[in-house]
Amino acid sequence: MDEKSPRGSSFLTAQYTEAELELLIGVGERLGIKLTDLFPFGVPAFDGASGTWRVTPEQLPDLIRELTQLEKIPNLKVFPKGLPATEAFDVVFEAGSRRTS
Amino acid sequence: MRFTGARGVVQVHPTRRCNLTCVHCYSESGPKAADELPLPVLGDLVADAAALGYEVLAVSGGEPFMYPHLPGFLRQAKAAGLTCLLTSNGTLVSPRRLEPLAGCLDLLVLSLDGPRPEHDRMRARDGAYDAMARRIGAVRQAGIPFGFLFTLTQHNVHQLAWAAEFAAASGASLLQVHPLEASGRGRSLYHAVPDATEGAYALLEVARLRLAFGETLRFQLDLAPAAALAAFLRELTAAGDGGELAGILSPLVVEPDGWCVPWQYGFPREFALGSLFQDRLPQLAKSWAAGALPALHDVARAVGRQLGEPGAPVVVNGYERLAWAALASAGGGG
Repeated sequence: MDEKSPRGSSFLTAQYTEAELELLIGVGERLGIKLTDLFPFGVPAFDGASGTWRVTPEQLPDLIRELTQLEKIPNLKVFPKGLPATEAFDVVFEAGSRRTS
Repeated sequence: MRFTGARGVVQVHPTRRCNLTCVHCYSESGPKAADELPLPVLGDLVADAAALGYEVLAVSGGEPFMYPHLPGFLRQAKAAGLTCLLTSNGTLVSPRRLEPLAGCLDLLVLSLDGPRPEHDRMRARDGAYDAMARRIGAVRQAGIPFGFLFTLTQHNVHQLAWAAEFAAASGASLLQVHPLEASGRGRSLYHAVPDATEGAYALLEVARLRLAFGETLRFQLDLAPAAALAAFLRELTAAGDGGELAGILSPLVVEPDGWCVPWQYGFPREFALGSLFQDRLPQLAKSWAAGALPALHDVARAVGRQLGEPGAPVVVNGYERLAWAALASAGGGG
């Protein structure tokens, strides 16, 4: 509990309801993009999740656009896959819960 | 008019001895603290307090279970007709210690500062959470109604929902949320005192949790919207200084050295009623009403005015706000 610790309210506003998580995951489903990894937080009372979509270079702009139009935008990290030519991207999202235990 | 609603509360700290040295302890209690009030003084106090209109005794500390005369004290309070509440860190609760309190204790409140890592960090003791949690069964078995006391900091409002779930699952009837105060050992945690933003989030979160838990769990938040506090202080000071003590001063706080102070542990002694080692409560109350009470009302009026000024915080800890204003008024800075 030092001065650099984040505000409690920053965690509160980042929490996702189960319905909001469904909306988030539904973005990939609508675009026909496969979710290769999903880790829900807060079982049995979901308040967040992390996961990964594997997308082609052509699918990436659509996925990012759809995600940034959500009311709650998750943290996103995009990793190119394939050397020297990028064949795919892993789009990793982190939404909601930052539980400490 | 009183902070504690319909019933006058006398809050007693019979000892500063404690088995823990919590990092936020406002009374700087610990194993080496020696202050302790003799049972005869407390016996007179509860009888006098009841006669002056107080209906509730709230025992805190130090750790009350380290006060050797606790059962006798509570028996005398009960005999005086008081409802008895007790706040404990929970680590010393056991069937052996609870058995003598049967019939004397109306509510036991256990400290809960978050999930295990946060709780143990606040309590400055690895294993404090587990020690408290495994004793809840003994409280349930004793049939004593119980609740939890959560210390709100700048960093943990998001854990209120967790605390409510924990409390409800444990069979508790109350979750009290008290903001961290930068007093006593808590002075070193001044940066973790919840600001108005975190206070406002706590207000909303408690409102949400009240709806979610309904009758299952009661919530008490020791923070108030500034406008509500300002209105309350106007009424408090307009009500004047007539009537019995419990009607004009609640909570009345009795510290481990016998001093009786208004509203909050550590309240500046310029506004105190005096020491129970000097006189009994009715005599202290009489001279206080004629002496310090008008000055205390001046402080309350000034705080009320400040809360109405532009830029005032939206949500405040009323007790702390008044204590700081009283300290400044007494020349101790602010």
